[in-house]
Amino acid sequence: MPVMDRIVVEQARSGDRAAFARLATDLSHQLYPVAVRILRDPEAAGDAVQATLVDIWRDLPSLRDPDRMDAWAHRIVVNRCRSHLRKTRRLPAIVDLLEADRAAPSEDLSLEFRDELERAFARLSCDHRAVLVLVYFRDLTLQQSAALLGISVGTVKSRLFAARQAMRAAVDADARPIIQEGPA
Amino acid sequence: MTSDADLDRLLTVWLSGGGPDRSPDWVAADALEQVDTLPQRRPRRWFPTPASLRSQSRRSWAIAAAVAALTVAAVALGIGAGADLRTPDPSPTPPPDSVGWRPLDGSFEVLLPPRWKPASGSDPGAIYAIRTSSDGSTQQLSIRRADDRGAIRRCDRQVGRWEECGLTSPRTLDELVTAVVPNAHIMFPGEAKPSTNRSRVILDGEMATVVNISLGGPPPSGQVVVYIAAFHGGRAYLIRGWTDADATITGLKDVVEGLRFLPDPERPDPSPPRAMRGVAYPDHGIEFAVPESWPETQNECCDRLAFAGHAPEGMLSVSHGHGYGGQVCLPLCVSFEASPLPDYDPGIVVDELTAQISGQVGPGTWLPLPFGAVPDLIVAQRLSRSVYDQTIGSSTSETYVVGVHDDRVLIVAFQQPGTTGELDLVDRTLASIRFLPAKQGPTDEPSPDGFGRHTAQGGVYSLELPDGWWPGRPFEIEGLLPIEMRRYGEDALTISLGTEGGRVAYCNPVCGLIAKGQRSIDDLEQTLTGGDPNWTAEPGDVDGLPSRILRPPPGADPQLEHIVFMFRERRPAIITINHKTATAPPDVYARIIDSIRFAPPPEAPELGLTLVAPDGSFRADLAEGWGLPKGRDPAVAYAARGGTHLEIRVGDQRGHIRPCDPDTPRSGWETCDEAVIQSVEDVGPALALHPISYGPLTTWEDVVLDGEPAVIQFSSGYEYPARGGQNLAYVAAVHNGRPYVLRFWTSASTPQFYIEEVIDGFHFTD
Repeated sequence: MPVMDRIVVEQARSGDRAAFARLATDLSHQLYPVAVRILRDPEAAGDAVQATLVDIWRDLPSLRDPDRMDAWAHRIVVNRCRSHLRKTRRLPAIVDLLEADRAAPSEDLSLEFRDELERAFARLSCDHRAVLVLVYFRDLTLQQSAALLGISVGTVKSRLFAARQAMRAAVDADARPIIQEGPA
Repeated sequence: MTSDADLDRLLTVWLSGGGPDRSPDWVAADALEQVDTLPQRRPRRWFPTPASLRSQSRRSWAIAAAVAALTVAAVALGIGAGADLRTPDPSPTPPPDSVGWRPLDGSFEVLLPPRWKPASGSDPGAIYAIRTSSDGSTQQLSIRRADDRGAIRRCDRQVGRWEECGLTSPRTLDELVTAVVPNAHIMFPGEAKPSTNRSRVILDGEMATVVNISLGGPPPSGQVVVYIAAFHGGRAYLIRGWTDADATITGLKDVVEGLRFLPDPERPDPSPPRAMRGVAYPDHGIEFAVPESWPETQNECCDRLAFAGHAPEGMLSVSHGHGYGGQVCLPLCVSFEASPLPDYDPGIVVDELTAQISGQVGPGTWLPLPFGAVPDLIVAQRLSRSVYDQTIGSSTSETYVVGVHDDRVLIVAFQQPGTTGELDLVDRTLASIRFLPAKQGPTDEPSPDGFGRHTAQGGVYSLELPDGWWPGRPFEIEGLLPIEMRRYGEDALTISLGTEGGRVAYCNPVCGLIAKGQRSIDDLEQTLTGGDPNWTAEPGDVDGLPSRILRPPPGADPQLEHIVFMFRERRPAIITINHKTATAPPDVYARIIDSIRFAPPPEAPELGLTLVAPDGSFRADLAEGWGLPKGRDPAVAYAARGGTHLEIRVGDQRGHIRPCDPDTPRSGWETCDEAVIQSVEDVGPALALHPISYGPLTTWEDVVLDGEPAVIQFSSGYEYPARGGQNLAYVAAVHNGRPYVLRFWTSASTPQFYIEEVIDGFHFTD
């Protein structure tokens, strides 16, 4: 962590609200893109990050090492996402594409294909989603992801394996030819 | 099938395009609005001043007041201390939030106001702190004491070439002062000539010399270094302050006021050496010595050996497993594993493992372990570091050693409170390590057909294994709650029995945990195959229990075969054969699975006592063994069995409930704040624990409590100092709009909560 950031964390930890405002703004830009990709819902992601920032303020004095700020914040936001998913898990599995997806389609991915990916992703647990987001969106290594999530590298590997397996099934399903049934 | 590279590219493209890269402004703005009226939660002090010290504390603060008076008098006489020391705070009492820091040897303690924060440095024997002023300038502090030979290091990093940071061995205060004063006769090109003045203060009753060194002129200018040198009990003490601001070090008065020397009896006697006892683990191929008073903990797991004790206080874990990794448990276990190599190279494995350990525990410098420090260990590296924990108010010393012996990785982790630990203790443990010859097989008589029956998992099942195979090794997932999984035959065969809550471990081939929700064979199939229709599923049976054999499409890598079934109706179970790593023919595995015989379920325990809710809202029929301890709160039902404590509380119709007694939280991370639980979905957030020190780690499991959906929240952590593992479980449900919380707590290293038993006997009666 840069020295200045460390100082800001130290100041915020001491109760300096101005310092926390700077920290919260920085953190929101780091955490929101992760949350929105885990939850696939901009509103819910905003709420999760907002709750995370409040948690961070309240418990900041207990943060032992300012250099662990990033990891701590990511763990909290993943927990908040998990909590959100727990509350909504019994809702019908309707997957809406994000507004951003509709507005700016990703390169060479068709709408149907992305819909297939969304559905597969929606079936993943929060922990599996988080690993995928950190590895493929944040471009973190397994070690970095493990450190950020506070879990072992082995756990990251197993979650990534399971998550990739599920996503691969969606990709392969999309690639399968449609079999026409009927009289020969 | 999509190649790995294509899948990686697709996921990267899809996730990168799947949302904005910045947060909308309202997110932070709304959070800040909430924070405006929200106070911060200050951690409790984990370093309480013992009663015996409190009187001394008052004495030292009285001395500080005397120091203040003396210093002011000195100023009046023109003796000239540093500006910061001329106007000390005359308050006779320490600031209320002061935190006490002291080194392991207990030779002194310094109470600093909270504006001083812990910092790190390269000398594990020093205390480091940093203070940031309102103008953004910083002040840094180190406090050191001479070692047993009288040597003391002056600084970590010199401000200029005039400052000597090496060891010095002064015999008097004058010699110590001379060692830190810049030599006025030597100039260094391009560096400013420091100006120096000296003054005197009283440091907890000892005369001390203040050496104030200012650097003006060209860079590095605008810096101030202040040394305060003292002798106490024949030992040199050196306080060094540094600031980058062209000003005085105002914070040093905190140190002068807050430092007190502690009496000799507080110091551990360095001799005679700690008594050690030898322990041998043929299954691990290792023997070594541990402090006599350190029992083994968590001995149900065989991937590492862990010990902890109070006198001396500390923890040790030793892992001597396979060639690519092992575990560190201080006290929570983390696994480290290097990437497999086509040609085994111990150096590469050790380098990768040391990097992983640094990534987990924090930065530090790994140094080669001196040859012979652990006999027969090669390419060994050692990391020794000191970590300051603000929440407990003191430092912890940690030592890690990673090396390879006979293509097996040895990982030793050692932790003691204080900045240095007892260095001889870890060295003696390392020197005592001896590697034992590998065992060749079970000692039982070989059976005529080459198979012998073995009982596994405490009698839950038995199975026949080929002669030479060891009964399965337990495997711990995520370092916490024991999972009933055993691995056989070089780990090619894994048998895993899950919990009634639907959790189950499995290896695919990397071992992980399916957190919950496996209620049927169909659930298991869906989870393990990911819904991939290319997998095949065949019916089968395991000791008469209906099962399903799941196989991936031909050519899949790894070539796994999962046999899934429900054990005792509610527990998901998975048997996995990894045909790629199997060292025996397939029919051997088929024979082993055919030979599995499950023990009948245990009989229901005898009824011991019935707990009745004070308000008549529930009844809990508890088994024999439970007793009725005295309870503090008449509205709470209490019971205890062995070291396990049970408390049952009922909330009000609005969902308000206090899950524990705020006067007796069982660990620092249990807050006992009033919670609002209106549905089981609220349980996680409502009963969230307060992370502190070593924990806790928390997992959840869905269960049913007398017909109501309920959640079990397990938390395991470690309470400093060395009060052992703290294991806590809440079972929470909502019935007729009221929350019910069953709270289980034990400090046993192998937590035994009896949760299922208690749930079975629990009935709502309102």
